[in-house]
Amino acid sequence: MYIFFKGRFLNTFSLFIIPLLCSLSGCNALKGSKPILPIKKYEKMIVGRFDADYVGTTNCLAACHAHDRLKKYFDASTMGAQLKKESGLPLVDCESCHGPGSLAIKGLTRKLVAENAKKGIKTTCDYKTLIDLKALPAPAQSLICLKCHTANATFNLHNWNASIHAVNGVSCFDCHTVHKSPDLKVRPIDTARLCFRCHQTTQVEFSLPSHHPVNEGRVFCTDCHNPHGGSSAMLLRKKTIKATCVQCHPEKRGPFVFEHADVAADCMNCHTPHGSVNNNLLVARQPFLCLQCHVGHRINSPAGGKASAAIGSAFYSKCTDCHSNIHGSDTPSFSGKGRLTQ
Amino acid sequence: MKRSRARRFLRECLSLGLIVCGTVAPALAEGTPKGVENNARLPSCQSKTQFFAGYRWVNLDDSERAGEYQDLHSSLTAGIDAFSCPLPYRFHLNGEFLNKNDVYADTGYAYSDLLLFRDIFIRVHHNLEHSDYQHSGEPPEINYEDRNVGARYSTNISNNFLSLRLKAPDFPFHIFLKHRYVAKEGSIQQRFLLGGFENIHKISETRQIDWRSNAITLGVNSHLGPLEIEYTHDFSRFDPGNNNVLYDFYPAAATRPADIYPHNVIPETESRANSLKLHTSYTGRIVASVTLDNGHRKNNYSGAVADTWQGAVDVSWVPAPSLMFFFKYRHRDLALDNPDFVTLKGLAHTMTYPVRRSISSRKDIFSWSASFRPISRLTIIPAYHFEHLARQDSAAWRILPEYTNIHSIKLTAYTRPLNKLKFKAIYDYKYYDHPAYNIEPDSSNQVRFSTTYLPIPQVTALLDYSLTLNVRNHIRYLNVEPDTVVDGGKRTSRNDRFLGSLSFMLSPKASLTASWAYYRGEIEQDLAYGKWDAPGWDGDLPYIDPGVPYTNESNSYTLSLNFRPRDDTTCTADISHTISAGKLLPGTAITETPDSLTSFSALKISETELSIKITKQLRPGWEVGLKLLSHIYNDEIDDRQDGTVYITTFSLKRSF
Repeated sequence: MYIFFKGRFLNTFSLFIIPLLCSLSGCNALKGSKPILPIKKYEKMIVGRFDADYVGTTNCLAACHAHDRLKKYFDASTMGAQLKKESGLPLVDCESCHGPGSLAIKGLTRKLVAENAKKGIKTTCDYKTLIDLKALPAPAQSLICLKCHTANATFNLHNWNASIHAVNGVSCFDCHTVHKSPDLKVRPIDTARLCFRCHQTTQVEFSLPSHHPVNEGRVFCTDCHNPHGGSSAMLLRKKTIKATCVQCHPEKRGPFVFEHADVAADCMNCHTPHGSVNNNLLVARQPFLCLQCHVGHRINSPAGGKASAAIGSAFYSKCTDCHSNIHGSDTPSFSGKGRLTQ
Repeated sequence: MKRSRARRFLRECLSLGLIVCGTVAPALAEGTPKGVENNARLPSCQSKTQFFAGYRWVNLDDSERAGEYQDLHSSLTAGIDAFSCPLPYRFHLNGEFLNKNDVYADTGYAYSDLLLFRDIFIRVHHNLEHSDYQHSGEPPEINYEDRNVGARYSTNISNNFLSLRLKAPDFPFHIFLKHRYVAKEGSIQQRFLLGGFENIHKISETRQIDWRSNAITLGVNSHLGPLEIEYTHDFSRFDPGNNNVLYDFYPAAATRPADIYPHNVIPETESRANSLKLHTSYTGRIVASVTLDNGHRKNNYSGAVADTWQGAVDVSWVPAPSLMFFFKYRHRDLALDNPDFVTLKGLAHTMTYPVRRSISSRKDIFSWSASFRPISRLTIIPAYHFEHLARQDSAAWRILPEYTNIHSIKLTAYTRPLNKLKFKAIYDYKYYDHPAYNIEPDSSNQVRFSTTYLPIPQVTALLDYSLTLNVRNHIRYLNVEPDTVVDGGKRTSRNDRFLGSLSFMLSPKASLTASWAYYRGEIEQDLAYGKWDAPGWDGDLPYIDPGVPYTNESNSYTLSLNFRPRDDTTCTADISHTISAGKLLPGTAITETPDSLTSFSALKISETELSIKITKQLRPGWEVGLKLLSHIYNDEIDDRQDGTVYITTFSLKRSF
C-alpha cells in the first residue's frame, strides 16, 4: 500500500480519471446525498410541520419587512444568490432551513401589513409554526446545514462528525451566523473573540508575559486550529504539533543530522503555545527546563570542594547560550558529537 | 544548485497549475455565460464602505519589551472595511495599516459559486530581547564576549495566505490551490559557544536574517454520491537566505585541529506530501471518513531525510438521538534517515565524524467515545484513548524505552439543572506504561469544574477551576562519565487554574465585567548535578538533589467597561494587571549547589495595560475616534526589560 501510494498513481488518478468518470457517467446520478443509514428522528426534527406547505421565499418576504436587515447580508452570499432560480445555482430558500411556511403567513397580506404599519403596529408572522431552530439539539442544528453541505463537496467538514466540537454538542450555529456576512464565514481577525466566548481560560493565557500576538490581531486561532475537526489532536490544522508550528517557524522543520532525540517532534514538551510566564513560551525556565531530563554539568572542582561562582554561572544560567541549536543541528560539536552547540 | 532546485520547484508548480486549470477551464467556460445572462434577475446587495484615517502617536520609555509586537514609531494610520456584491460577483476588503510593519488585509473575490478567491496578509513587528551576559568570567577559563553591545533586535514577519477555488458548473467538483508565504527579516541575537570545558568562550553577536518559506497545496475534490473524495499534493520549501552559515575560529580540541569552522547552520529544507481523503455522507446514522497521507522531508544542507506515512479513520454512529458513538484510529510511521557520517569542512581541515541514528517511530492511537443524553438537561461523554508509540534505534540513545503506551479514561458531564445555571465537570485519568522522558508521568489525574450562573438578568457569573496532578516514581538520568543510567528519582507536579468572572448590566447602556484568573504550576523533582571524582580528573556518579521545588504562578485581574452615554457616542475601557512569579529552590544539603541556580530561575514580572476607546458620530456617515493604550512592563528581577509605552490614535471614519 505504501509503495502504491508513494507512486504517481494517485496524482494521475485524481487529476484526470475522476473528472473523466464523472463526465461519462452523468452528473445527476452522483449529485444526490446517499446516507449509509438515515437518522430518522433527527430528520423529523428538521422537516417542520407536516400540515404546512412550502410557499417559497417570495411569499415569505413579500408582506413582511422585518427581515430586511437580515436579508441585506444574506442576499450577498452564495446562499442568498441561490434564492433565485435564475442564478443557476442549487436552490436554497428560507424554507430550506426554517421549514414550510404556509401556516406562518396564513392570513397575512401586503395590505394588512401596510395598514398596520400606518397604525404603528408591527405585523409578525406566526413564527411558532416554523422550526424552532434555537431549541434543536446541536446535532439536529448541524444537520440543517449538513443536509445541503453533504450533497455538495465541502472542504473543511471531512472530520466534523467525530470532531471534539461535534462530540461536545457544538453546532454550526454557534460560530456561523447565516444571515450575517457575504461568505457566512468568521473573519480571521474576529476568530479570537468568537473562540474566547467558550475558551475563557485560554484567553487568560494570552495575557501572560510571553504569548503569541493573538490579542494584537496578528495571529489567529485558525492559523493553528481547524474548528471543523481534523485527523490530529486538539483540532490542529496540520497532522502533527510540529507540522503546525513550522508553518510559521520553518527554520525548525528539519530533519537534522543531530536530532534532540525525539523530543523536538512534539514542540509542547518544552513550549506552551498560548502563553507562559516564561520567555519564549517555555513551560519552565532554564536551567530547570533542561535539568528535568539532563544531568547538569559538574558543580564541584576536580580537586574536590565547591566549583567557583563563575563556573556555576557559566553552567547553570541559560543552557541555550551554548546549546544554541537545541531544535537540531547539522554540524558536530567541539567534542565531535551531536551536543547541539555548533 | 539552489537555482536549479528553485527552477524545478517553479516548474512543478506551473505544471500542476496548468493541469489543474486545463481540467476545469472547459467546465468554467461552459458555465460563465449562464451567470452573466442572469445578472439582471439576481438579488442585489448594497455596497458598503468604511474608511478611516488617522495618526498614531507612540511614546516609549526604556525597553521595547512593553510593546513586544508593536513597531514603536509614530505614524499615519488607515483602514478600510468594504464589500460590494454586484451579483454574481462579490468582493470584500478588510484591512488596517498601523504602520509599514504592522498591517492586516483580508481580500476576497467570488464569482457565483464557480470561483472563490481569498487572500489574507499579515505583517507584524516583533521586538526581541538583547540578553546580556551578567556574569564575570575567570579568564582564561571563561570568557564572555558580546560583539554588538547595546544592539537592538527585532524582526518583521510577513505571512500571506492565498486560496483559490474553482468549481465546475452545476456539479460538485472543485479544484483548489492554497499558498502560504512566510518571510522573516531583521536582526536577532545569535549566542553560541567557542571552545570546550577547559576554555569556555561564550559569544553573542548580531545575526541578520532573511528567511522565506513557501508552502503550496494543490487539490481536487468531488462528491460522488455516497462518497466525497479529495486529493491534495503539498510541497513546501524553506529558503534560509544568504546568512544561513556562520564561521568562527575554534581552538584545537581532542577531535580536531584549530581552524575556522561553520556553526549555527540554518539549513534549506523542502517537503512534499500526498493526501487522500474519503468520507461518506454527513447526514447518515453512520458516518465514516478515512485519510491517507504520505510525506517526505529533506534537509538540503546535510542530506537528512524523513518519510512519514499516516492514516486516520473516523466513524460516528448515531443509534438514537440521545446516544452517539465515536471511534477514531490514527497511525503514523516516521522514518528518519540521517547520514552515518558527517563531514565538517574547516578552512584548512576536513574532519569526518560518526553520527548516531535518529529515532524513527511508529504510533498507533485508538480512541472511543460516546455521547449519552439520558434527559434533556444532562449529557454524559465517556471516552477511552489508547496510544502506542514504538521507537526504533532507541538503544543508541540509552535512556529511551522501546515503546510507550498511554491509556486514558475521560468522563465529561454537561448539565443545566436550572435555566439560569450551566455546569460542566471533567475527570481525566492517564496511565503511562514505560514513560520516556522525565517530564512524562506514570499517572496523571485531572479534574475540572466550570459553571455559568445568571442569578438575575443583570448579572452573569462564571467560575472555572481545574486541577492536574502528575506523579512519576522512577525518573532516569543518563550520566556521561561513567556512562551509566542513574535510576530512582521522583517527580510530582500540580497545576491549579482558577478563573472567576462577573458581568453586570449596569443599565441598558452600560455593562461592566470584572475577572480574576489564578494559574499556578508546581513541580517537585530530584535533580542531578555532574560531579568530578575528586581528587581525580574522572567523572563520578552525579549528586542527587532531592525534591527540588519549582513554581510558575500568575494572577491576572481585568476590568472591562462598555458605556454608551448617548446614541452617537460609545466608550470602552479595559484595564488588566498581571503579576507573574516563579522560583526554584535547590536543596542546601548539597553544598556544591551553584548559587546561580536559584538566582537565574527567579521570576517576578508585573504588567499593566490600560485601553480606552471613545467614538462619536459627528453626523451621518462621519465618526471620530480616540484610542489610548498604555502598557507598563516591570521586571523586578531584570530591570533592563522595564518599559512603558503610550500609544494614542486619533482617527476619522467615513462610511459610504
